Amino acid sequence: MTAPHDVPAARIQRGMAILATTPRPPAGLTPHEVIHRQGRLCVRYYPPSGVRRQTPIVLVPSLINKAYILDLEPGRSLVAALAERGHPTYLVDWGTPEPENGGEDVAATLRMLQRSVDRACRHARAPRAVLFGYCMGGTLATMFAARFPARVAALVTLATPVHFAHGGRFAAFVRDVDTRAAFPLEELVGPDVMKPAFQMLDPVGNVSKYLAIEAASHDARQLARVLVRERWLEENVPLPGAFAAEFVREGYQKDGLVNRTWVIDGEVVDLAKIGVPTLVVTCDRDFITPTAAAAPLAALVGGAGRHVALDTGHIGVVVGGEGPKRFYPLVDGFCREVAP
Amino acid sequence: MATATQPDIGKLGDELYKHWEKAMGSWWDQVLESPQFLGAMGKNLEHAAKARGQYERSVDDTMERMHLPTRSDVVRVAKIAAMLEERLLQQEDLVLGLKDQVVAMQKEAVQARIEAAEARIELRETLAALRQELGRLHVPAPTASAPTAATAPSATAAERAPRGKKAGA
Repeated sequence: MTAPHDVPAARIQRGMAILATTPRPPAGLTPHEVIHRQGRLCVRYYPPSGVRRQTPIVLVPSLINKAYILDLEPGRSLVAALAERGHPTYLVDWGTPEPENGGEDVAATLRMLQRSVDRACRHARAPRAVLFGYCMGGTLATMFAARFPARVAALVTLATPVHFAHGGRFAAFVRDVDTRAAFPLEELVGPDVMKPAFQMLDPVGNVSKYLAIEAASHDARQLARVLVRERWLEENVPLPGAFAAEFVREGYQKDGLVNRTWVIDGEVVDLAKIGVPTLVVTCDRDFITPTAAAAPLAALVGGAGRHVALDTGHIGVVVGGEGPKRFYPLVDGFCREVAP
Repeated sequence: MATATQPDIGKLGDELYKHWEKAMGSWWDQVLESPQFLGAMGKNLEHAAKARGQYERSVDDTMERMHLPTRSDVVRVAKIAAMLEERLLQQEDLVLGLKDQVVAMQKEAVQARIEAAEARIELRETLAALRQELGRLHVPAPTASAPTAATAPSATAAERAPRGKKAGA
């Protein structure tokens, strides 16, 4: 029997109240060791269990969110799933930029990534690593694989924008922005600027989430699961202004990876130079990185490219039901296939 | 008060919500195609950045007038610390590179020693073979007191026995 107040508006109100009053559960609980630090950045190592595989996997998350999305909670953790399957797993945690990091551009970020991958390979005593990139982290991993192929055994990208001209709502949003004026080069672009921009990508989702919270509130475990995801969404981190300006200008406005106009340290980033096996995973219900923006990478790389589309969303693919069911085994299987 | 019609009201609410969700989604897609909207959003971002910059500068001015370290001063010091850390990490990179070279050189040295040992073994074997050959050549010519043809092969066998061992020993 449904009570009269059980109309969506009432449920949304209840969801809002729950979100406002319930403490957020902890995240990033998988045991690990920090093997490298550079300023705000650190590389976390998740020791493998069972039969140890030789080639490490280095996970590169996005810069605008906390890295623990890849280790959200027990049972919904990509790092734990890979470590349990015997892969020496390393997570590049970009940390939270401080005002002194405002001038770091894409080249500086790639140099930090280069050192992180190097340290991970040394720690694993392996010459090369499988690089896994998620969202903006995938774009960086792709650029890294094109610029420094010696350290890369294979590349996996998840919901990664490469063909920015098809970047959907976000591409439309930043198409005409004057990057020099909007993103001061020596300053940080704070979450107060980025969060509304992302909320504008899915205005309906901002309301629907309260319904999901209200629906989950009847089961403590389910509620914890929804709230830990909300915690991650709330904890945006600022982005160095120089990085934001370059990413929007060279990526979204010039489509620099497809048009081969993106120059890093005096060299054009040429995706054809990626000669390693590449797995491109896209999500059919992704409004941040539409399939048309991510899938072309499989054809643009010089090596064997494979595209897999999953019927899920941008975040659900990692922490939703599809993660443990389809996505984690997919990454594990690919790594076993292409690297010892 | 629960009546038979109430579940329908709930369902109707859900249906209305779904319609609203769909309509909002398609309307928003249209909005994002509007150059006026996008232009205004871009300007908004620019003005927000400008306003923020002005605010930061005014705070810095105030702090400076009070003879207190400004945000820019702190950032400058932090940048120097970051540069120093980068220099240290570059040194660490160099040390690790050198370590790699030493390991490679050690590997090469071990390989060279193995090869030299193998060459010496080969030489020794060649020498042994030559000695054997030489020994055969030095076999005295048969005389009257020489062994009969029936005993001759056993003498040859004695000669062919390994060095340091006597035939039949």
